[in-house]
Amino acid sequence: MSNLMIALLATLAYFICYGGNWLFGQCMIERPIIVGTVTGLFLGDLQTGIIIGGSLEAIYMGAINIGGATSAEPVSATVMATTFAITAGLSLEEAITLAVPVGLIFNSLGIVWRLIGNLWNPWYMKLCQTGDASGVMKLQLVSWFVNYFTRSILIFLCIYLGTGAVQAVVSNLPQPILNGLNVAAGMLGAVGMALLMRMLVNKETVGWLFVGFVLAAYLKLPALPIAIIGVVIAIAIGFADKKVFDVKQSLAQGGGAVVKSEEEEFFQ
Amino acid sequence: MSIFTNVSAEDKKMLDRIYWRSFMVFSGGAGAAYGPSVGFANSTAPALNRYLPDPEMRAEVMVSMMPYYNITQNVGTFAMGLAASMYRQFAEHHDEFDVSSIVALRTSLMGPMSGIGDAIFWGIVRCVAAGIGIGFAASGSILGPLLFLLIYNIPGMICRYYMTYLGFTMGENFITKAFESGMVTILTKCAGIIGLMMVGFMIYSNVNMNVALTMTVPGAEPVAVQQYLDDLMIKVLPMGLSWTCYFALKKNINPTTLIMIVMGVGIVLGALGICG
Repeated sequence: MSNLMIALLATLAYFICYGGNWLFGQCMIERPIIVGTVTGLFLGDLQTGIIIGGSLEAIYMGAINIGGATSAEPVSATVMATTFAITAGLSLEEAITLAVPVGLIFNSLGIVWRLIGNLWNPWYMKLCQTGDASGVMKLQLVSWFVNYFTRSILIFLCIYLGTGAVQAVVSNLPQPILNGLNVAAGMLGAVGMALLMRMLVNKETVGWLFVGFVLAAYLKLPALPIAIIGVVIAIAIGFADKKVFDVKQSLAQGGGAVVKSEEEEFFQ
Repeated sequence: MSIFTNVSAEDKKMLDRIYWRSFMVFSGGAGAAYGPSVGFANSTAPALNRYLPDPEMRAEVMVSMMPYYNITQNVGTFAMGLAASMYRQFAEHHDEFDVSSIVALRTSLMGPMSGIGDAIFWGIVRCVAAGIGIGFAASGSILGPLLFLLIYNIPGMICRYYMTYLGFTMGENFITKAFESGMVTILTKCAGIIGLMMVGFMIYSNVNMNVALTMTVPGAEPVAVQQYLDDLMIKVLPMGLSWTCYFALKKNINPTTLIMIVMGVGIVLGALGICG
């Protein structure tokens, strides 16, 4: 495959995953595990794509697009990591550590598009002022295409011009640095977990994190059985909580219905 | 279910169209100020055109709806269904109905609904989907990405559909009632339990940190430090590192900075041969 062809296919994967995600209800095809798979599929090495995508998914677990504000842009990171792994022969760890700075740089560049996006506002305002509800959809699609197409051009240039450079740098990396990259790739997952924990941890439920950990570390259970155990526990606790809540409610309403019925049974 | 049978055939047609259009609600390339609200107008366009055939009245509503909008997609259709029912009220009682009350109500839903939606869909459903997906992906199996997509999107699409009808038929008091009945708190807590168990699993499976140093014991073979750590607790370092990162984030360290720090520390530890 020529360099140009590689860059075009990788860019297509980027456009489909990034743009498609927002056109199809944030269906998470912009997540590394999918982006890696699609890029791998296009470049003819599906398995490498899946493996790199899965590893990056772990690192970017906590990075989600909330109201346009993110800490990293995983799509460009995954596309480039996968492409360079397949074409420039990067190892899994090298590809992952390459992805991190790429994700950070492209995330900061994202602000350019957020600013440029405001140029559409007068058109939108005009459609609203004339009550043209059907026209909004057309303009939305046009602005969608322009937004993701221009982003894609940048990715194309980076891959097209960068492959040679990446290859040269990687083949000359000294062994201690390669060891360092391996260690860093393994440690980065912790940040993703920490971002998730920020969202989930509270005093009442934090203990369950250790239950999941022990099931995995000591009983060597895979993800699916742990998820099933989790669902069962959650349902049991949910019903128990609901009962407590209902009792509290009926007591608060002054009836004390629960207590009363017990007394009646006692006297019968 | 009653919310699906209580609506007329024409209502159903409109709500289904809102449901399908809602998928592109955040697709607009416009800036953060207008983009999402324009998507909202586009999603509710079937209702706008149906109840407000007069372009001037429609324009009045559309302009009033321009302020910022953002609710997690999978539950945001509730606000769209609700807006549709309010467009109808606005059309029927044009004189005494203040148009700004529609956008006020929509804005008041943004906080609580995004809170529930983000926690459940991004914190938990996605977390379970990724936990299972990553496991399969590690060996290069196509089941990884496929299961990830299915586990996330099937509940997501069902919820999105249900919410469209719920918003239209139940109306504005529903959210208050859902909070008062304790359902929201209980649901969030239970979902959080599943999410946390998956995080525990992923700390084991996705975070790696091993000490490469060995200790010399007089008169015996050198012993790997990692062996002691494993005897203490398997994966004790990844667990410690994850909590360290958690407390760093809690101290308001920027995630980007944190990523750079962890990467830097990792490269140094690896280059010096301390970890490997």
